[in-house]
Amino acid sequence: MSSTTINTKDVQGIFKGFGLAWPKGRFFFLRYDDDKAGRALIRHLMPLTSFHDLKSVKPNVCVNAAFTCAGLEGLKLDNDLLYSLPEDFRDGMRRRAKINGDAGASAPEHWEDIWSDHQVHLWVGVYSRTDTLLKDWDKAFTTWVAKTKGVAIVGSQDVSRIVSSPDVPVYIEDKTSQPEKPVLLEHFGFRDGIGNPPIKGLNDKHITGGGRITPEGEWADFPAGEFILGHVDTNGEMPIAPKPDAFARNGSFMVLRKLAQDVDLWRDYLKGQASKLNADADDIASRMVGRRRDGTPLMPAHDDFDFRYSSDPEGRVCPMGSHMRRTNPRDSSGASFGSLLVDRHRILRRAITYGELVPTGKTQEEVNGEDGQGLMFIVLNASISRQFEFVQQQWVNYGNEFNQGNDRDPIIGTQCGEDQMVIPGDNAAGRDTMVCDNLQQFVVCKGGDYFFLPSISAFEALASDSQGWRR
Amino acid sequence: MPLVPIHFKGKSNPMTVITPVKRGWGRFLTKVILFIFHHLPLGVVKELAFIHFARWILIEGNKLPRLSPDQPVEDKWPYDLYLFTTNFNGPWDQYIDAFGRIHAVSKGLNMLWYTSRGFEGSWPMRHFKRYIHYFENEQHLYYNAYPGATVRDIDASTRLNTELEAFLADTENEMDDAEFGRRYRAFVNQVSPWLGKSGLEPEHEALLHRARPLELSQ
Repeated sequence: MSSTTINTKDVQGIFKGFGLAWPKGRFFFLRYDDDKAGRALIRHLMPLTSFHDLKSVKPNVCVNAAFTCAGLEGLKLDNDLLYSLPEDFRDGMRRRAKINGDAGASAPEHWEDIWSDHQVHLWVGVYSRTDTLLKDWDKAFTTWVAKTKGVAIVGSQDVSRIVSSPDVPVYIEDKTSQPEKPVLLEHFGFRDGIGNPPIKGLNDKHITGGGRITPEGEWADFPAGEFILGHVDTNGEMPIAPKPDAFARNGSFMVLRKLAQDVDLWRDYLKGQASKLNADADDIASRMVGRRRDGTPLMPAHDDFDFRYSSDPEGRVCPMGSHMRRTNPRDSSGASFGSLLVDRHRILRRAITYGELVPTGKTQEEVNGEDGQGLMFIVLNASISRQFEFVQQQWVNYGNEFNQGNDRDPIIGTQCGEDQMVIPGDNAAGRDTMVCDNLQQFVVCKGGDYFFLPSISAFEALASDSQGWRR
Repeated sequence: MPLVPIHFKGKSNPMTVITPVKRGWGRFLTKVILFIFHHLPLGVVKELAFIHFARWILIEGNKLPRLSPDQPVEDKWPYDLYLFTTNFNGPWDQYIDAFGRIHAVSKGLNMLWYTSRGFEGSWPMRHFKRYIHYFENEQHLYYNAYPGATVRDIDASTRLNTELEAFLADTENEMDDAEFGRRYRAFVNQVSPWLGKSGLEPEHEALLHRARPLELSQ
């Protein structure tokens, strides 16, 4: 089989994304006391929903799963396999907090309890068409766990998709900034899930706009190896992966972070800045994000996907420091480089929101109570340190590459108290500079970890008592 | 493995790579290559804006400094030392990636290291990284006069300073408040892309810890 042909029956469904067809979900975080209990759990979950299933069978309930390092160790796998796991994954997200900028309110000591002491061994993501179907699955599963020795659910998290609607206003002051058409939203009222890279052999949507830009200026898709192990990457190499190949092939590394979004703080802050600057709060918000609420880019664009930054090297149209431009800078480093300096740091985002949308005029307490609202941020990448951690450290929590000095991402950066975002003015356009000062911690990390997302076949091999890379 | 903070304070990193070059024809060819590069316009490197400087020097193996005249001359080893020394911003991995991935730079490097023994080219990337890492020398001492400034910080501050001086000269004479306000806003708009905060922040931990590239940690 050539490396460009990917067996989609062997790839977990999350690579495709569950989208609006399976809008209700629940994440289970499980632990097992020994390898026997672990294998019983794996056998119970088999078969996982594959990429292919999402296109053909379209099951009512989809189940995907991924292991933490503690989870793989708990299965008593071969030492050669365990030590072939990359350092970043073996460390886990807690130990890498300083790289990811998880400090202040996001520091690991404030994370939810389940993320301490390596309690979480397995993530099980259940995505369902309806609430009723999800409840049925949940009931059957929790019953099974209760009667199975050595397996425990240490935590769970309900997730669901939120879609914009004229009945639920998400604008701050300017009514016209409300998206007209229904779009997938996140809690600050912006369109979500439109910046993902197209992968050769898996997903050829939005190559124009989503892909990489060659130095010749053409759009191209990503070789699968940037996101799926066992396939060639943009350097024309097989990504460094755990051994043996059958364990890693068609698998990936998954980063999961629970990001709480403080909607009240966000709206109050923007109102404050708007009155200080004598400007429009929704306009400031979209310049911080880099897109309008309905996803329209600030840059002149052919559609919501197809645009470039190289014509705006000073960030006067779309600020260099905006969230979108930081996390996918496209050809910001200059048209002659295309996206050559960006391609090795792209991530596949498979996030899903939790909590209900907070309509303008209501407080988050009234809508979501103590549980709050936010994003279960999920990233798939071939190398956590080269992709996710790089973005987090160099692009989100530092501004050098964007000529922003030490300034951080205004939305998800870790703010240190007196941080600012400069929205450059434009004398030709008659628009004045806006400096948003005293940025607040709108987004707080509540915990999470690094996971290994195996292929369907590797997951099944792990369940076997007789084979499956055991010590 | 626990994360160990890097031991140099500041935003830039040093790197020193010493590769062996065969004496004789190798030495001659290296000198020709260095002469050519000395006279080439290297716009790409400037455009990349994360390299403070990059320098290649040939140190002749039989002319190494000696502590005293009694110390024998090193002339048994048939190699010269080819020194590459550079200061850069950002992670090691990103720096080397840029070297290999940008065709113009990659071609230049193939030429510069052409005479170095065992050099297979700056592509494939993994070979190149291993080659650089193998011949890289650990830094024990590093002096940085402006630890809080990157190339981009310096560039932005220089531009800002020029504009500021022009603005001060422009507004030296008396004028009414409205006129001053107009000129002030125009000045701020002009320099607004270069107003990011620079300098070292004690709480800025993102710079203190760096992930080891997979190629080197596995």
